[in-house]
Amino acid sequence: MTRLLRPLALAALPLLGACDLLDDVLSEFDGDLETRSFSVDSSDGKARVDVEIDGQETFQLTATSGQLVAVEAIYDPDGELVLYWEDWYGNESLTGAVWLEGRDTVLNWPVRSVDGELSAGTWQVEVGVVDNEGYYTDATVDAVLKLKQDPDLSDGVVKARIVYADGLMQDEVVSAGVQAAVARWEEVWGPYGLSLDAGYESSAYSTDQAFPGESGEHEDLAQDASGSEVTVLIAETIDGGMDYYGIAGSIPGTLDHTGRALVVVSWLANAGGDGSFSDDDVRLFGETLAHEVGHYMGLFHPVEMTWDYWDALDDTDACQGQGDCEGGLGDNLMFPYPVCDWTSCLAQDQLTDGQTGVSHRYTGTL
Amino acid sequence: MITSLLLALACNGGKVPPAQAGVVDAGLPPTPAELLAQQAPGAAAEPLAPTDAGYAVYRALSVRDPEPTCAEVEALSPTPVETLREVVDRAQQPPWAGMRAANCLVQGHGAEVQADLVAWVGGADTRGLALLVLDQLDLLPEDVALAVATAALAGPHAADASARVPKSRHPALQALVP
Ligand SMILES: [Zn+2]
Repeated sequence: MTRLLRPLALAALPLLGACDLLDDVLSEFDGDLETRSFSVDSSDGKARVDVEIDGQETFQLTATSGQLVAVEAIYDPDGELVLYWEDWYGNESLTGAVWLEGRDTVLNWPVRSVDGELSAGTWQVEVGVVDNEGYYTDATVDAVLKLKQDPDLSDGVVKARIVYADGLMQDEVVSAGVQAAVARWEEVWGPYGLSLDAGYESSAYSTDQAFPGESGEHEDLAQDASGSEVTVLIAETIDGGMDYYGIAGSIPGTLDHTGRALVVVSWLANAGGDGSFSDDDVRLFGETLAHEVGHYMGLFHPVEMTWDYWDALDDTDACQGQGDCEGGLGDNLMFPYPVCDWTSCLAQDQLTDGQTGVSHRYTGTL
Repeated sequence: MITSLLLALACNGGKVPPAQAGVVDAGLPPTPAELLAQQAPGAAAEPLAPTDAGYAVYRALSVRDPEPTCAEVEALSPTPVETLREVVDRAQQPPWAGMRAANCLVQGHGAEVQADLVAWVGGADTRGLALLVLDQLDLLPEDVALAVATAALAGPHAADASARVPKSRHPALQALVP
């Protein structure tokens, strides 16, 4: 379950000095993407991660620790607070990085155009470190920074590494269905300047997959990723059944090699009772792939099914109630469910400018 | 120090807090077919119109995420087994609605629907349902699982069954595939 564990006394703790860097920063370049890896010791429950910016458009921080971690604040080079966790703790969601849900957290910044550009200088991300009881504690935090140098935020390519679980690539029904769905996924993204560079692999991973991060196989899978691609694992079942048919590791998802660095999708749930892919099945499967990878790139549902939680974007209708929301957002790619009438479903292939902007600001969109 | 345990209320990879996962809309939308009619005028066809309970269960099972639980959807019908059968047999889209309904029958009503399960593993056009059952044999009572596995190994999906039946924890099922 997604849980947020917060000590209420958090805001009373004083700000301390500069980050306590443990060792040298390791830096690597891969085209427009730079990777910096280093470790920081937390102090009074906060690890301060410095992000040197010199012309990059976006960065992604993946912070990992033996304790629970979540982003608490971001400061720009002038020391101005540009994000504070409590501001995104209500009924609007901007980033899953502020949720204390595990031993790693992923922040992509900026998220939206209104968050501004990355000015040159030293940005600082404050990462809270909390024990299982909800108390601040101190621990080493391993930081992996990915920085994108790509001034064109209207045209981008996402690399998708599509990995079939054991034997599924050899099943012609599955491989043909997946490839057709990927074509639909590309069709959905195309009008928004998003291109897909998809590669396919077979594997020996189990056809029944756990949630992202809850299987040692996911860590093994992540080790083989390039660091600039999104891994999509095609399974038969998830958690032993049909409850889940697509799950993203987190919002946003990491480009680092953690156990949550993937999207898991069930081919069987998307094929249905006949076990084959009709044209309608393919269309929905493609939209499901685009939807789940959309979460991975930082998109939330424009509205949740309780009709009282929304994303942080101004141009997705803040609708209230089922009829209002289906009417206003039912064709949106990130709507929480397909609008169907028993025999067919509406196409869901629309993104607003705000959603498109989030997708292009994802550091893996190059 | 006071500890606060709160639930985040946005879909995170489809895993959501129980309070939200339990939300289903039992009420029917005003005119669901109208939205489709707007997209494809004249294309509406309802040869197998659902019952009210069937449509309520269907809607609950259709969500992309958060995913509903079987208990939640079954609470929407006075006769859940019959209603789940209706969704399996008649709902056409989205594909996971029928599969989730079948999943609930396998996980909660295996003995009662044994004949359905045997029919699924023996049907040439029900490979998806057959795989769903074969992947969950150990959730069935052992005698039901044995009957289903035996039928599957003799049916059109024997190759699929041969790969899955030996994974059962029951020696009697393992012995079906030498
Ligand atoms: Zn979703």
